[in-house]
This record gives sequence, structure tokens and C-alpha cells, in this order.
Amino acid sequence: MNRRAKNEMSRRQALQILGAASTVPLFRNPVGMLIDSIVGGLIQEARAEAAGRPAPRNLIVFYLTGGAPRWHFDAAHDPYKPGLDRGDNKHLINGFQDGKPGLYKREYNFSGGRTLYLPPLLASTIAPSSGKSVPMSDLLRNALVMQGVNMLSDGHQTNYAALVMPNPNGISYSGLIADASAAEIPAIALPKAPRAHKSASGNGITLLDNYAGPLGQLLSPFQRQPADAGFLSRRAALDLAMKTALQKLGTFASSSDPAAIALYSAQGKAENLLKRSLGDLTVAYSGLIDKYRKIIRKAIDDGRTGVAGVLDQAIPMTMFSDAERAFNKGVPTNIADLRDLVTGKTDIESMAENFAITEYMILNGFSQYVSAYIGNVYYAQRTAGVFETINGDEHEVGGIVSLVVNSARYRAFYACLAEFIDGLKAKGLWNESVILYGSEFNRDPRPDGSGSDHGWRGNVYTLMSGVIDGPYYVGNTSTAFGSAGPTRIGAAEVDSVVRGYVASTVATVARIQTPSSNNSSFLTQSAGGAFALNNIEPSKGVAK
Amino acid sequence: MKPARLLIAAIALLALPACFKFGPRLEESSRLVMGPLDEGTILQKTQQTTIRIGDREQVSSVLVNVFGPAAQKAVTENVLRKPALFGGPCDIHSESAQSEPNCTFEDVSAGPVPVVTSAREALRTQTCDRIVQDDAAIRYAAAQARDLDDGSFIDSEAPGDADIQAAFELFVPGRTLPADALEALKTGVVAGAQKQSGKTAEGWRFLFLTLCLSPQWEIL
Repeated sequence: MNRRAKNEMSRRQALQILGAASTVPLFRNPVGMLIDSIVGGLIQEARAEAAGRPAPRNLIVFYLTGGAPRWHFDAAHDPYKPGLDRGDNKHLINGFQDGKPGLYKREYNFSGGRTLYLPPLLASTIAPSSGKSVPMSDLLRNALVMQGVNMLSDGHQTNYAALVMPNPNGISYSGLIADASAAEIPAIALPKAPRAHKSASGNGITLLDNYAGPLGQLLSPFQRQPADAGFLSRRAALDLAMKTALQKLGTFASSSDPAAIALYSAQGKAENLLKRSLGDLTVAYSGLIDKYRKIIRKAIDDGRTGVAGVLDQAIPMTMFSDAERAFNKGVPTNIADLRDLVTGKTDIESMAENFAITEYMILNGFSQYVSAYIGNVYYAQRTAGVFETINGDEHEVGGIVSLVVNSARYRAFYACLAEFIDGLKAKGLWNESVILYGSEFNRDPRPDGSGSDHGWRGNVYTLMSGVIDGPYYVGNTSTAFGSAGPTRIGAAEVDSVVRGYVASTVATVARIQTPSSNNSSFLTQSAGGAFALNNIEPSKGVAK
Repeated sequence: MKPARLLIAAIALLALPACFKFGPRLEESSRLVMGPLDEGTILQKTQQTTIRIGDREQVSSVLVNVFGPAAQKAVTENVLRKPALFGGPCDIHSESAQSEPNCTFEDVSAGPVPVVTSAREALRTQTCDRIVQDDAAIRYAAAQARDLDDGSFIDSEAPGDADIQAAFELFVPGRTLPADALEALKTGVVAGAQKQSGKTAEGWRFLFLTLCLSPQWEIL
């Protein structure tokens, strides 16, 4: 080895030794330094911009578990063909009175009479705690239904996350809200709800993993622990001096750690909430959950009379022909009353918990984002005497079982929703709140009625807010309505609605930055403040 | 390499901007995503800035190091037993052998990496409040600031500029307070003492309360 090579090797060795000894990571190169300063500047820029923006609207995301079928609920099948007869597949009778392409601001329409196959769900009434019955379809007045949404992938897990983080690896709705909100606990995800979360500023999401004293779990850190009254009094008197010092320390910290701002902001929010008297959370919660239990019970009990044609009479399975029984694959054939297939076992607790927690946190202003799941309230008896949940994949559950179980879910869900919206209105928050509900995908009912498959190219999202002057429907749910009957209703047209449109629409109404800047919003705000449909291409039902 | 050059290189490396040590951590992730049909795949890259904050072990060790044994009870109840909020490893098998475990079965699913939430800050704030009410904790911390064994001087001597800087460095070692932060802390010290008829111990109490509340020391 010559002298020069020896020296070169010695320099490398020296750098390795220095790297090990130094606290400075040697892999931080000048490009890394540049990125640091650019990111820091972007954050400061975003914050400065955000400071001049109004606060986000509340955003509540309800997740309908398992890829829930929407084609007998609020999804309109092929709005361009208003005829109610869909051929052999008797599931499909939704439609509008006027099947004109373009903007669908019409009265919802149902079949003239009863049907064994598709309860005209939205024609039935529900009763919030006010006692005043309202048609389910009333809730669509402030709704935009985005259907035929192409999820770009067929998978429960991927699309479960996409409900709240529509751009993979991008910023989530919860992150956008948490970064812009002054609420003390800006974003929470309830048990089993989608919780994919990413924030630009390092703000976290609060996760609830079980329902054991949920308000206590969320708020007990903010309930003042016993302390000397004299100390607390002096502390309060010195509040201004401490805040001034903390502000100076915060500025100092963020000069080298821009993301420290999130930490100081969280500390400030904690101080604010510690000063509030939260009262007895147990008492507050018990009132709320009792209320929602009653609403749900009434919705599903009333369903036995309110869901015309299916649950308002005893329909023995012997009424079905062999072909029709095949429609309900696996269902016991000796059932004397169809209702007994499903009403032997219920689970109303989780839906009641989710709405009770959501109402408390949003109406009291503690949070501006809640993610909650909506499961089935009825179990299904697919083997004689055995009740099982069908919250998940419904590939083989059979047509009637799926219809009845999900009809109960949607009745209960809408009854709770009506109650929650009444609460928002009473607090003057309906115009400042946005509700989004959807699932991993729609379902694609098999023509033989044996079950359904993943309709990932035809998902349905519904957006509700006091500022949406609807009802509006965009997008299609079907590409094939041939003479043999619809072969696929979960499919959207190519170049039709993709989930980026949904993301931009949600963001526009929620007053947050869109996670999907390549796609426009279906809604724009008028000078009066209400949101109306953008100019859309009538033949495809999508925004230009 | 000659020793002189080695020394120069060492100085150059160690003099690099502090942002290398304390700067935000960048995450860059790439993910292949199916684009709309017939358009092939799209490579998506996103960047975000996150902040790394200490877990329950780090938070509790700082507080006990600064305030001594008097801090242990508050720290155990509010920090060590809250893995869901503060993160940190949770070995359920070793914990279950203790009469008062810091981690229960409900905590097993708690994430190991803590995130910034106001709930965590609320518990940390309450922990600071509880600790500083104890005179023994204040004496211990003040003694550490002056590198002494006994902190009884707090009853007769108010903290000076050097004390404030030293107290700050108990939480954030190696950093120098800027002048405006120092002045703001001094104002709090004076105001704190005035609230208790000029008792100097109160000045020390509110100094350490403010430094404890300031979240900077949580940042890794």
C-alpha cells in the first residue's frame, strides 16, 4: 500500500471514529439540511396561512362495517333508467320519479306496493327522542350521495383505511382537522372504527379501544386531581406570568424544532380544559346512552311493522318456491315467520355507545373529528337455532337475510342520526358539521340471490351537512342493465368517480385542505353559504 | 491523518447546526398505487414532519431525576401507569408479578411510540402540579441546580439568573435560555414570591412549575 492510500484509509477511519463519537448523524448530508429548512419553512408557511383561515367544520365519519350493501338503502340504481323493474333481480327497485340525467334533486320514489324482496326502506318513518316521526328520506335533504366510486382496489383492509385516509400514505381527515382545530381533543377514533391517521404537524389522534367508561377514558386526564386549594389559587393568579414564560420557551423550542409547536399547542389546550368543570361524566353518559338505546330499540321494533312487505307480517319460508328459497342460500327452510330469522338476538349496545360518545364530544366542543363504526343490530339465523353476526363479508348470506338485517341496521342508524342532527341543530352546529358515512365498498348482488360480492368499483359515500342544499346524487352504480337483468351493479364506468373526488368534496365542505389535489370537489359554495353541485358532465355524472 | 487535521475535522463536525441534533425527523415513504384502470401504477411519495417525544420511561426518569423521590408517587400514578397515553414498552408477564403493576392487560395493545395529544399533556401538567406542591421536591431540585446536597436555601434566597439557567438545564441539558425567556421566568419568580408575602420558596416553586410544564424536555 503506498503512502497516499494509507492516508486515505486513515481519513475514512477517522471519519468513522468521529461519526461514532459525535451526536451528529453522519448520514445527514447537505441535501438533508436543505430539506430540513424547506420543510420547516413550509410548516411555518402553512401555519401562517392556517392562522388566517376559518376553523374546520366538525367532521364525523361513520363506518358501515364489512362492505355494506347500499343498493336497497340510499344508492339509486342507474338514475338514467327510472323504471322500477330490474328484471330477475328483485332486490333492485330504487329509483327517482324523473330519471333525467344530470342533477338529481328529486323526490325519492318507491315501488307502488309491498314487496317480499326489497323493503322500501327510505319510505318508512323513524322517531328520534323528540317523538315526532320523520320519514327516513328527510335526512337526504341535506345530503350528497356519491355513488359508483371506484376504490381502485378490492380489499377490506385497504379500503377500510381509505375511508378516512383517501390518499394512501397522505394526510388523513383526522390529521387535517387536528392540525387546524382549536378543540382540546380535536380527533378521536372509537373502537373498531377506521383510525388511519397522519398529521402534517405531528398532532396525534386519541384512540378509544373499549367502551369501559368511555367519557372517563377520554376526559379523566382533564379532571382536576386533588390539590391544595391555596396552591391552585396562586397558580391561577400567576396564569398570565406563566403563560408569557411558556410562550417564550415555546418560541425558543420551535426555533430548532418547528414541530414543537404541536406540543406547546397541546399543552395549552390541556390547560384550557383543566380549567373547565366537567361535572359528573358518569351521569352525563348514562343519560345519553339510555336515550340512544331507546331510539334504536324503537327503530328496530317499529321495523316489524314499519318495513312494509317484509317485517310487518309473518312470512313463512314455505311461501317461497324452491327457486326463491335458493335465493336465500343456507337459510333454514322450516321457519314459520321470516322475522324469527333475525329478531332472536340483537346487539344495540355498540351503536348506542358510538352515538352517545359522539354526541357528547361534538356538542360540547371537545372534539371536531370522530370516527365511529356502525355494525348490524340484528344477528341472523342461518343455521337453525344459531344466531350469528353478519357484520362482515356477505358473500353467501343469501338475499333475504342480508336485506332484513341491513334494513334494521339502516333504520337504527338513521334514527340515531336524526337524533344527533337534532342535537346539532339545537346547538347551532348543524351548519358547522359534516357527516360522512360509507364502507369499504358497495355490494354486488348476485343475480341468483345467493349473496353478494365486492362492489369495489361502485362504492357509495353519503355526505350530510346543514350547508348542503340537496338532496344530490352523482355518479352511477351500474354499467349493465341488459334484458337479462342487471348483471353488475357495483361497477362504475371507467373514468367515472374515483375516491379523490370524494376526498376533495369532503374537504371542501369540511373547510380543510384536500388530500387529493388532482380531483375537484362535486360541491361549491354559493355566496349565500350553501353548497350546491358543481357543473357535472351529465352523461357520466361526474365533475368536469 | 495528522492529529491537527483530525481535531479540525472533529470541531467542524461538532459545530454543525443544532438542527441536526434537534431537528424534526423526516419520514419519506413510497408506495405503489394502482392508478385508474389502464393507466398503470403510480408511485406516490409523501413527506411529513413528525416530532419524537419521550415515552413513559423517559418522562418519569426526567421528573424523578429533577425532583427526587418526592416525585415518585405522582409519576407512577400519572405517567408510568398510562402506557396508552405515554407509550413505552409493556411487558405484561413481568408486570403481573408485581402487586401494583404499571401495565395491565388493557395496556398491552397500547402503541410503543407516543404521539402528541392534549390528554397526555393534561396528565403531565397535573403531574407537575402535584410534584411542585411538595416542598421536598422543590428543595431537591433547587439543590441540584446549585450542585449542592441541601436545598434549604430556598427559604432565604430567591433564584438568580444563574439559578434559572441551571434549573432550565436540569430539564433541557446543554441549551442556553434566550434573554426574553430568562426575563419572563424572572418575572414569574418575583410574582410567585409576592403571592406568598415575599416567601422566596414560592419563587422557586413557580420557576420549577413553569419549567416542568414547558414541554420542550419531552422532545428527543
